[in-house]
Order: sequence, then structure tokens, then C-alpha cells
Amino acid sequence: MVNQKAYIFIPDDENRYSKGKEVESSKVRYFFVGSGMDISGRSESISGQTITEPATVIYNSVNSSNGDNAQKHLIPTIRAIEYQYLQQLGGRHLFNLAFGVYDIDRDAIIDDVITNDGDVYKVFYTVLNTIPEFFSFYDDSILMVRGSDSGAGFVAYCKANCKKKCSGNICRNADRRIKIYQSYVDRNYNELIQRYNFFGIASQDDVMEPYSKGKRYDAVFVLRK
Amino acid sequence: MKQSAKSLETVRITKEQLLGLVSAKLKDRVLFPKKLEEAKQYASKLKDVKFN
Repeated sequence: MVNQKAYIFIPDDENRYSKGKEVESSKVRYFFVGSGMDISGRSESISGQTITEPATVIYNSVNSSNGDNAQKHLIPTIRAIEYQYLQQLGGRHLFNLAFGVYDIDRDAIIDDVITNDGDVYKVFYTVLNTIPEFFSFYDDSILMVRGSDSGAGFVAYCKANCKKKCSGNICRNADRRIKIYQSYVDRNYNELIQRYNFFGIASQDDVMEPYSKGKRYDAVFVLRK
Repeated sequence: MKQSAKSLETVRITKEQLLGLVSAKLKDRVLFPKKLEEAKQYASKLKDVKFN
């Protein structure tokens, strides 16, 4: 039984997600509100999400840019991150990184949502920014990162539901998430390898190999040095 | 247009309170069961490796 810690991720007074609050739970997860932030630490407004239906909760941002809380009728997008224990691999705990949107009105997690809110990179970078926190608890574990929009199952689902007219076996929505992850790793590789080891697997039938910049992987594995 | 009292009812909460509310509601739930199942299936087929 893996002794997992629960963690709720909240912005500090400067709206940076640099501190976390431990909560009682059996899972490792984080929550953050709004559009997220650039991993470099630049803050981002958290009141940019609008809703059209009457709200049962009015969110008053203490970091509001205009300071007029009485005028706010906004509920920010609430995103959740969960580090899911899977199994042992190479004598270490293997975790999966998962995240999605929490719909507070329906009290439901939507794990396949593509929000199209233009903040995809900030969201991804905020997710990635929790990884050092995760390794502070599980320094000897392995983190597996896969895109939920990868695999034949996603392509089949997308082709049945998507309005884009992709021809043949091409799916323009597929593999976007893992590409963003890898783009981040590739651009920051020299800095990241000071603290982490990266491995990749091109397909499920292949053997895990040391990460190679520019090569497309089906899954990326991260270990702290 | 007249709205029901329920739809007009609002609660003002801070960011931390909102996150606390969400955290309490989701406590002990598996947030992403579908992803967990998919990841377990994927991981079960991985060839074991040795890390230095």
C-alpha cells in the first residue's frame, strides 16, 4: 500500500502556485483555479472565466485586478490534478499524471474536456509546475506522462464526434497533449536534466529508452536524480 | 423576468474557501477513474526496467 499524500494547490498572495496545502485524503491531487500560470512564475488573472447561467457561488478574487468584488459574478474554471499510483516498475512506485476540469454545478470531474479557452499552454505549464512538489513527497518514484488524446481509442472517438473533416486515419486533435509536454521538455531540456532523468517509450510494445530530444514518444517517464 | 429565490441565492466566498469546498466535496474520490484504468492497462504491458 503506497502511503499517498493529498495536496491542494492554491495560489499565494501574488497568485503564484508555489505553495500547497495538505488535506486529508488518500490521493495525491492538486486543485487550481483560473487559467493557470506560466511556469516561469508570471502571474495570470484568475478572474477571466465567465459563465452565462445564474451562479450559486460567487467567487470573490482577493487578487482581483479591479478590486470591485461586488461586481463579480464569475466562477473560474477549477482544474484538478491527480497523481495516480499504478504499480511497481523497476523497483519503484509508478504514478500516472492526470488532470481535468471540475464542474462545480454538476459536481463532476470532466477528464476529456478541451476547454478551448486559449489558455492551454498556461494550464499545461501549471500542471507541470506541480511535478517538483510531487517529487518532494515521492522522490524515488517514477512519473508517467501520457496524453489523454493519444491512442487509437481517442482517434476513433474523435472521428465519431469531431466537426473537423480529417481525411483517412489522420486526426488533427490526436497527440496534442503529449506534444505540448514534450515541447516543454525539449525547450528546457538542459535545465531539467540537472534535476531529472527522462525516459521515453515510442509505443507500448517498445522498450523504455533514455529520452531523446525531438523524438516523438507515446509516453514519457520522469525520475528525480 | 422573475427568477426563483433559489436561483438568486448566492454565497460569497474567497478563493481559499472555494478550493476548500471543492477539496471537501472531492475528498477520497478517484478524480479520473477512466484515466486511472487506462493508465493501469498501459502500465501493465510495460516491460520491466532497471533504473540506476
